[in-house]
Amino acid sequence: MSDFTTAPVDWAPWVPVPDAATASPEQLALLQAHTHNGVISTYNATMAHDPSTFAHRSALLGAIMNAPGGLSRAERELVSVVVSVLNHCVYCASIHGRLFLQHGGDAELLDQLFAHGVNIPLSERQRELVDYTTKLTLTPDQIGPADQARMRAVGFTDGEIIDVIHVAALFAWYNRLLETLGEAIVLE
Amino acid sequence: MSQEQLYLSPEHDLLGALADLPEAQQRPYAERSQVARLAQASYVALLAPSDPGGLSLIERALLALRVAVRNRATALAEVYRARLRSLGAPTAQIDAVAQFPDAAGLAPRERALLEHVDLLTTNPRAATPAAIEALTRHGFDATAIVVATQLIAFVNFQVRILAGLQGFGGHS
Repeated sequence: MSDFTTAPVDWAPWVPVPDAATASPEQLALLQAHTHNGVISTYNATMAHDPSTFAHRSALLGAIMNAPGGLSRAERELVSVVVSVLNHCVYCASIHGRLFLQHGGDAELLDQLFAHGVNIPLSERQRELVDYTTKLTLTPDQIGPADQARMRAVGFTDGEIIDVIHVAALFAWYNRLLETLGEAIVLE
Repeated sequence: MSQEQLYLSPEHDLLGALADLPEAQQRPYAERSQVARLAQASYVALLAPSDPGGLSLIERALLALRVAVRNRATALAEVYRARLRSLGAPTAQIDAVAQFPDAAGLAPRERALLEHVDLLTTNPRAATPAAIEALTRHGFDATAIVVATQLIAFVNFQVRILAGLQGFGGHS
């Protein structure tokens, strides 16, 4: 059985979060900015250990996932889910699986991806998108002009290919934070 | 300006410069310049912070070099070797990063860091609290562990941005 779900998933850190009594002014500012009604997510609190990286990466998430033009939002979310499934990041797959559906993604495709991984029936365009993302995720040194040519052959523009690269790279980053500093807890 | 100062300037685009994109892809790349700017800002913040805290500048560059080596990212590995040389790291120590784990010239603390790199780079799903405890035993506090994780994850991001851009064929 697959661990993946579109149900909300909580996250439990394996490191202590910064203590407000001993936190630096920058850490304290981040903790306060992300506390709402006295509650802060365990993820935000953990990332407060390194406020400047947190700020840049959060801005990158917006710049890469929400930028106008280029790859559709549903395809961006599909790339993020494919990377998260390959890396087995249950937390990221839950959040971005829901975003994929919210932006018009195919629920049947997501179910298949969660249950069976990347070797599932796909349209020609989706097949190239998923294969390119898989190669960049698992064997980045193997990506070359032939892969770019296959993407172009099914209609991807150079700008869209750059968007795929950006999303796949960003989730190589996010997955490694969420999978190695704590663990996903599926809420029933 | 030395090459090292150029690499670490917030105005530079390290990955874009290394990718050497063909003419045809320069416009779509420039339309996404916000991503390059933030990738550079992250690089400067992680590799050359004003206060390195519990993870020294040399330890940061050793981590980054190991991630590049494990991904066979040749150009990026050269950037981090140059960074280590400019920080005064001995040649034996720099060479040891590529030869690890069969390498002398690394302190136990550094070996613990490189072990963590290998786990997070090649098999992040296998990470457990025990891996974090191993770092704690070598004197890394929670902040240093979060920064090390960010750094390892970030260089894995860099590797994939650069590999994808180099796939356009500008890089020979």
